Amino acid sequence: MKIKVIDASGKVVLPGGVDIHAHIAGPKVNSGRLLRPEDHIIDPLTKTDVARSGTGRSVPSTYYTGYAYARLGYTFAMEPAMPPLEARHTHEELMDIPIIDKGAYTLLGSNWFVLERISEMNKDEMAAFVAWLLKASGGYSIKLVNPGGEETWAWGKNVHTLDDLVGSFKATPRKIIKTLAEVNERLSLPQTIHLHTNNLGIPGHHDVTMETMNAVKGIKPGKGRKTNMHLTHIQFSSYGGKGWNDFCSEAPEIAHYINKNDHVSCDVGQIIFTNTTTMTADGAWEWTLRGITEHLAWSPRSGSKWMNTQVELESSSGVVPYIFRRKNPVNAVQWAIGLEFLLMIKDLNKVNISTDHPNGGPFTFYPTIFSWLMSKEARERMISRTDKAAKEKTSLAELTREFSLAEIAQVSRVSAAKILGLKNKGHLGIGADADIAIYDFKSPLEELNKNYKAVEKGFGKAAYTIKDGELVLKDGEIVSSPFGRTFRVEANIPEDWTLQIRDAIEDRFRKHYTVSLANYAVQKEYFPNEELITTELR
Amino acid sequence: MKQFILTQKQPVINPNIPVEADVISPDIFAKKSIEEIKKLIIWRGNRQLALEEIFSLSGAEHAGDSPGEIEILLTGELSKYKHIGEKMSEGKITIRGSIGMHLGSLMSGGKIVVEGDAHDFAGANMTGGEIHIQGNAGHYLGGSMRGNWRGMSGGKIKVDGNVLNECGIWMRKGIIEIDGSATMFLGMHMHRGTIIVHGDVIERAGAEMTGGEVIILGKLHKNLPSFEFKEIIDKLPVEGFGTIKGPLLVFVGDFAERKQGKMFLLKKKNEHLID
Repeated sequence: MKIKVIDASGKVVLPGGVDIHAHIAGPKVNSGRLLRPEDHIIDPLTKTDVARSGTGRSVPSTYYTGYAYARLGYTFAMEPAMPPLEARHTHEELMDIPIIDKGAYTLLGSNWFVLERISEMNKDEMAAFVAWLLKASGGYSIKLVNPGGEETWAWGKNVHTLDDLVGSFKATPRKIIKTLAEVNERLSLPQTIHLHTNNLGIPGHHDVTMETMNAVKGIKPGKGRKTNMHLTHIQFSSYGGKGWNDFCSEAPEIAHYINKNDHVSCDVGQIIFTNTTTMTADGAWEWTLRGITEHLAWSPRSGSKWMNTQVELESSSGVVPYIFRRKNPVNAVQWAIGLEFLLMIKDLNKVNISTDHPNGGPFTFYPTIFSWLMSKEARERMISRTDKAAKEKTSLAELTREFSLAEIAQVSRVSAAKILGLKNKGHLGIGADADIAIYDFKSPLEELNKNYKAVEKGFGKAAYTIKDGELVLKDGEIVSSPFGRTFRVEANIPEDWTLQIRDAIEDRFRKHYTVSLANYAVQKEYFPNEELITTELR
Repeated sequence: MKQFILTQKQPVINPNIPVEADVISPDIFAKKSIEEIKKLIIWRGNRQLALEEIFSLSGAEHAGDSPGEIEILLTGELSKYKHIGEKMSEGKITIRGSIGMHLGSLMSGGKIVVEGDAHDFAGANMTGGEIHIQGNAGHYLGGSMRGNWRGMSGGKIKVDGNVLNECGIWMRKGIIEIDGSATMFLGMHMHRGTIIVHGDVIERAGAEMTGGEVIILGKLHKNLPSFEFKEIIDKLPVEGFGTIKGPLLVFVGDFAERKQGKMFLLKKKNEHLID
């Protein structure tokens, strides 16, 4: 065996980064690419002997995505919104993302099968359906986006409280969330349900977030963890005020709940002041956002360009370019909220960094977030450059906490791996994958909180990135480009449960789907390298 | 002035293959000796070539430190040469002949003179400087790069000949003056800035404009229904140009968007629009 020795003296060795929530593959990402040629032209990547060319920035091409993660020392990323009908497309793109390990969450929040049978179906059948759909789509966990709202959006409406009826169904968002959370724990899936709340992005609707957390409080978490819900990009769900004029932060209240209760974890969805592309399965919100852009100076007076889609029987989606501006009071408050969560949540196992790439900003800005966390000086400098709302309407300026390198490691890889239930990621102990990032800060480590530029630089360009024992990146340059694995989950259930719903699924496809059942499920060719996690019923 | 003369070598090999020549710019020539400039890389189709393989170069021994001191003279059949003067900030480029797409796109200063025609996207997304095209220009003159909703935001473009469709699309600032005629969608999506056309315009001028001024001193064959006639004025002072004598018809629009755009048409030639 050939052994290569890397001299890491004076450098920082960490497990490879884990990104729990980044839109990197799938039809809506591809629509984003089509919508934004002006975004690609400013960040081209030329090919080298080992790496392919690509275009970047907010919606990068597949190869660029893999290389950019490696450059940050990240080796794992999850695509968080895969409509089962578009699973093929999503996996085709995931297959083309080099270096990193990856996976995708299956959208279930507005699936007709779930909506229609939620009041009458017994729990066994629901579990059987979820297990079947996860397998058919090659998904990793259950994703809910504005539960029920995707379906109502097909009729031009939205759900506004947890107890609104979803279209003509007897389902409500509360029922959907509770049922799927119970099913999730019953199937012992490695991750909890991954939830994008109702009324996301709208001022004054943090109460819906609070109610959502309360709704699942009693559900018993699965084996090996205390949580039963992951609130994703929680920054976008923590707005107070009655409108955009008195828009303010309610992060302290929600962070307080998370500190008091152990059943919720979250990622922040930090925003970055930059030109980016928003994309989500929450089509209704994207339409609202498009209307908002009519009033913003950077946008055409008729509003930003946009796309919106309805995925038959399953989901919807939308894409709108957006520029976060320092001098915009709302954007300034949004920026502060993300940092408030990271600094206020005491147990860092419950929180991790994301930008909801590319909604809050491209993931390539993670090092900037690290520098804000490690240095109060860096935060103060940014506060002084932003609109005064960041100071007046949030509590960020009062927070004095400064993260250590260990705490940065916690929020950028360790807690994400734990929340995802990955036993071989996020640590360098026995049984871990050899995914290693080595950073060189060129500054004494105890002075990093004073030298925040060094933090940004050091994390922005890893000295070495090792993936599965192979050196992939040296001094920020790709040296080899292997392909990582696709992580997916299969939940074992009694066979007769599946038989009970088989006729109903077949009937649904015959009557309503534009594809036949035989062509629906993703087959093994879509997972050339896979890591299959099987779970047993609790 | 440090002058560099680039003459295309004859016979021209593969004249129909596009050439990406964004290195031909004073900003890139600066701080280089003529030997280094000869070795600059340009792409013809999928092949990399040194500049000296296509052009014979002569001129100053060293370009000096300031791009503003550099003058580049290009001669040859260059209608497939793209991105000349892209992102330039100072200096001067003169082209003896016609030039390909993206001439002076994203430029922020300096001057480009074309003694022939220019292809599409000349001056796209420029933020400053001056382009003078003595022949005709193509589509998207002073427009925006694909997908960008913020187009030309400063500088001046003068065309002695005619222009084609979507001239000044998404324009935000600056001035475009056309001596000849324009075809369709002149000043489409325009946000601010001024376009002056001395010749005739076919139709759909100012489509979806939300601000700025379109001045047509020839005949506008057909007006959009979403423009409203407002008044007749005698003269119009234009910043950076002078005063235009009328009488002029004033239209506001586009009503399909917000009606903050203004179109001025010479009364003498456009009586048919207010009947």
